[in-house]
Amino acid sequence: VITATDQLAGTLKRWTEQVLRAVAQQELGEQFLFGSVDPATASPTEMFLTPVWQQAFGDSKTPLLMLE
Amino acid sequence: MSPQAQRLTGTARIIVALAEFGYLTAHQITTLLYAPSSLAYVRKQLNALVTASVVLVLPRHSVTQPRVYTLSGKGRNAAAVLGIEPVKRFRPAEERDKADNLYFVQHTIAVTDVLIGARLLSQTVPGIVLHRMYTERELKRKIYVEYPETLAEDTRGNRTICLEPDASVHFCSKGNGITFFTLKSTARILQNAASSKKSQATRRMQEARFTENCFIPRRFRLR
Repeated sequence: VITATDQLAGTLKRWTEQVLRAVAQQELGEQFLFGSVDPATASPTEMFLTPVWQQAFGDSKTPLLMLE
Repeated sequence: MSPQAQRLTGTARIIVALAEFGYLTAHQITTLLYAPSSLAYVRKQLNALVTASVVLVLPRHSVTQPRVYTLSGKGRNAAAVLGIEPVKRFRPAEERDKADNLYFVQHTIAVTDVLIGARLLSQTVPGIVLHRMYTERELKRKIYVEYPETLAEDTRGNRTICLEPDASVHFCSKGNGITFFTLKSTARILQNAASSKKSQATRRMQEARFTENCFIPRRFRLR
């Protein structure tokens, strides 16, 4: 979820967690990521490779793409 | 060769880009294909394409809104000649209707920004290949997630709502696997929530968020 502020990202993360709990599918939380990156101005590296995304039910930040 | 066809030759890259992405602003075309200093050049090329009826400009709601360009029927034929077959039929009236929806325009610009970022990432970071990119029009009714309407706190019945992705990008990394994202605007979800029986303050908050372009990147990682 890309929003203008971290606060909004947190709210949408909470909503997603509520829905996933309601359908008893918390394990899908790792597939939903939330951040406040502006796709119009962020560089591709910032958008995809920088750990600025937070997973549902998670506290730490992660990149969209993890290079191995 | 007619003067218009000569112009087409000089702007083939723009036509191909419009065929791939569907809708683009001049700034997005510049980001995708040229150096930032080439914005004036891109605008000039787009004006030539519009004059030649190869490209359409969606009507704007205000002068501050960026112009959004899309291929006309003629432009779609030109793209096919260049090897890119644009998806979906083209109807000018439908394009005008879309332009009337400010949210559609804002949403489309934002989704396309993400897709452009994905394309540029694969061009600038060694080892990452953009295996496939799907726009919303390509995904129509192919991938969707069903959920009971009651989850949207809508009391109209027990219907099932289908959420369709707005875009999808598939990356390959060193040939070891594919990571793919489906991007979904939350606008529809928030619209449903805003129409449900909630407090006025909550509804105002949700409506405010509805005006933003938000995406749920859904990540699937295959090893």
